[in-house]
Amino acid sequence: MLSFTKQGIFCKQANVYIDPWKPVERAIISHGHSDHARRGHKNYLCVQESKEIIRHRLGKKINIDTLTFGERRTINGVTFSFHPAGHIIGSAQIRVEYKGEIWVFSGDYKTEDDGISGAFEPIPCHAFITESTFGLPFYQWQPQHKVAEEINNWWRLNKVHNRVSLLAGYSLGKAQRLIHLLDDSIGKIYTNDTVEDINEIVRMQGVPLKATTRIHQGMKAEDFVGNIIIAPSSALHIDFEKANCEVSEAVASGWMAIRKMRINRKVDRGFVLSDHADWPGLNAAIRATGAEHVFVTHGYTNMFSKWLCEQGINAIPVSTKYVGELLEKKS
Amino acid sequence: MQQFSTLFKTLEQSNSRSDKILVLADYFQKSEEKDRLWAVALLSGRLPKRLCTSKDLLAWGMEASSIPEWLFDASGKIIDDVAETVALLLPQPDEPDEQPLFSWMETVRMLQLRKAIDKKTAIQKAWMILNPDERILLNKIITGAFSLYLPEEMLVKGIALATGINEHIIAHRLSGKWSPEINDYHELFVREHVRDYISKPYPWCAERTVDDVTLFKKNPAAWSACYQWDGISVQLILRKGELFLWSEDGRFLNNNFPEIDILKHFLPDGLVFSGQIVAYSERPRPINELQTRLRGKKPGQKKMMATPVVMFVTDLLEFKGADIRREPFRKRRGHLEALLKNYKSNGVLKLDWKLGFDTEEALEELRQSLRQAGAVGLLLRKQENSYLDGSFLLKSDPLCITGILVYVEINNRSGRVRTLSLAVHDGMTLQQFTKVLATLSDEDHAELSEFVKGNTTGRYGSSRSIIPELIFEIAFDNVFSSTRHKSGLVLRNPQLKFWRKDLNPDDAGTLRDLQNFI
Ligand SMILES: [Zn+2]
Ligand SMILES: [Zn+2]
Repeated sequence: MLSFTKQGIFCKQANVYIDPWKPVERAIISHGHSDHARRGHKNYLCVQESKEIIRHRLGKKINIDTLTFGERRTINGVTFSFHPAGHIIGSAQIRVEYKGEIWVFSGDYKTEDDGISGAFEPIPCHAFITESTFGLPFYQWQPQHKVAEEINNWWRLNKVHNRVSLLAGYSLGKAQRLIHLLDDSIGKIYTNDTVEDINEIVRMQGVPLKATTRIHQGMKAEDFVGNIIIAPSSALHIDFEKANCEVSEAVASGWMAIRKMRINRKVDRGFVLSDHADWPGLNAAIRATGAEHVFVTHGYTNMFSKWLCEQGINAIPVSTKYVGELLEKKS
Repeated sequence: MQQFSTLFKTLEQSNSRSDKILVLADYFQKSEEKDRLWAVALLSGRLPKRLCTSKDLLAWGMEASSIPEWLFDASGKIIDDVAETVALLLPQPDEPDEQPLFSWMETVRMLQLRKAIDKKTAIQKAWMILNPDERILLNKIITGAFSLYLPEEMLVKGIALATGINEHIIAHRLSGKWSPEINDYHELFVREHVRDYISKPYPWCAERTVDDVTLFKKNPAAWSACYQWDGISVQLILRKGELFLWSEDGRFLNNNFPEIDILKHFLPDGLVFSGQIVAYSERPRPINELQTRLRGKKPGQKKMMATPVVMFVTDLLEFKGADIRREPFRKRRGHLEALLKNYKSNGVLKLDWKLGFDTEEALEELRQSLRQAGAVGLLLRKQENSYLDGSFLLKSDPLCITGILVYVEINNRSGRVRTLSLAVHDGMTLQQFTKVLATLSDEDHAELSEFVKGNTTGRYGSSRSIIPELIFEIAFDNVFSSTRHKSGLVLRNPQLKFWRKDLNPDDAGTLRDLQNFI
């Protein structure tokens, strides 16, 4: 029912593409990350919660239509609906049904409920197109309250010693999740423009995000002492060195699970926190769909498919243009 | 064991010296008391005997996990560390393990005497209750692969901060004979030892650097001068039959210099010298030759022969057990001369307050002789001054050379250029010869960053090789020949002077120019 074409995942019957990477007539979009929501399509369809994020990133002029979670839209006999993926705010799985056959495209997903992105919902289906960003057995996340404790302890220690805490995380998704996990009784939470723009959008949608302060030109390095900044370090133009302010820099990402990655990153702390499912999460999610066919996209597609096949699941790796967990590039 | 595994993880990652010291102090305050000395032992490289090989570890790990071999192997290739692979590929425990580090170390010690099959069973059982970070630690300890780059002085500072005990006392006690199986943390570091005072150095006296001779021309005869060599400042303490050698940054150096330590058998009790340790063969050598003696533990005969050292004694602070720092230098020097005449030191102790000058011109002449002598400056003291009045260091005019910029190092956080690596012409090729801090104005920094962006030819971590086009002038105190450096020479105290925007690469200095300074 769905096929993998040069433009992206295609439903021929409805003449619709899902998260396509080349410009098309009609695109259904799982979530706002740039490898899934791309420029240049004539018509966009997404879940209500994702609309403003996508318009913010792709421009106000795009032609965009929305559905609520669970609401159905039938196009030439094919029924489409969105279901929570738990990845970031407004992230959805896309369910496609035609003549009793059900396919689900997972988009990016995370099985642990983070309190702001909606809880991942397993959907029974015949075929499941899954991501596999962290599809190897050594990726096993700690419960998030433990990671939150680590992060807050680090912030507290920095505050005691008059240091600036700088926590880098991708502006859409990771940043909001971090803010949600921070203990704002320790100090003030500062954000840069790209992060704060997204914060404003999701607050308007009623997401209860903690209070944050946008960084502006007039602020001095000293203003941040004892407080925390959520921003990619490359986006900051504050000369802490010159002002003699000590900075402790951290990154939160699933990639930090490996020591080599943490040490190579050259930051003071690497917190293991991901918006993607870990190994147990992926396996549990796939099992819960009851799917006979599994298509494995972005990540360790070959190895993860081989593993699923050994578990008696008919899995095939598929190459796409999705990129997995984004880590801000260092300047 | 969780507290220690968290500490280890943090020390391994953090890039900040002060951060590392603070987390160490935090650990030594909050951890289980009985764990602390084990932590000190591990962090200072005192490891228990290895329990198994990493090959054993891998086999045991594969057996304990429910993951197929091909997937285990593939994961291992990505993780790139056996101890970590095994640690991460096992399921997470249901609840945290409460056993402290010391009891785990006890377990490891007991297992050493057991058969391989018992070791395997015990370790596999341990894996089921430990979390991944703790497993990494255990795996590294039992395979003898536990290592961490942590300079001992950071550990000393951490313990000192946690206990409120003087750093030099901690350093001294740390360097002694102890073992976590016999001693305990409190007794070793915290409890006051009656003998603590005997190792205590005096506060170091201030040394002011001056650029010209005007200060001394009024009454030249009131001053004494000696050469300041390219070495490290130390205090040698001999009290109650024990000798303590301290560097100015608080390192306890007895183990590094057995030829000085042995002097406790030759010198009278109750004295404190201040001076400099200098690498010396026929004449004083540059400080970089001293590095091999400052690194590592006790040197062997071979190492000592390869780099002989002497101590130039410049002052006497304690004599016959009395603090004489307030007496005039003239008197202290008198005692010093008598002491060194009456007691043998196998030539290890040297005194050279022999330089006299009675006119401004004579002083200037002495100054001109500095480079020839291989000295970094002239140390000047007034005859009537006490030790507390301090001393003066008169340096020679710096040497200069222009070099071509070939590498830069970028600061990860600010994106600014941190250091410049410069080269000189050597026939048809360029020879890198020094690295200096990029002390530039904001405008120049911006211009340089722009240039680096457009002219990078290679990236190596935070370093960039760039097209050799920019010329910088640097100043330095002296230059020495060196077999350790590719250029065959090493500069003393190089500093950036100017960005010579007026010069082309062809105008830069040559290796011959540098060799001529030697
Ligand atoms: Zn995504
Ligand atoms: Zn994705």
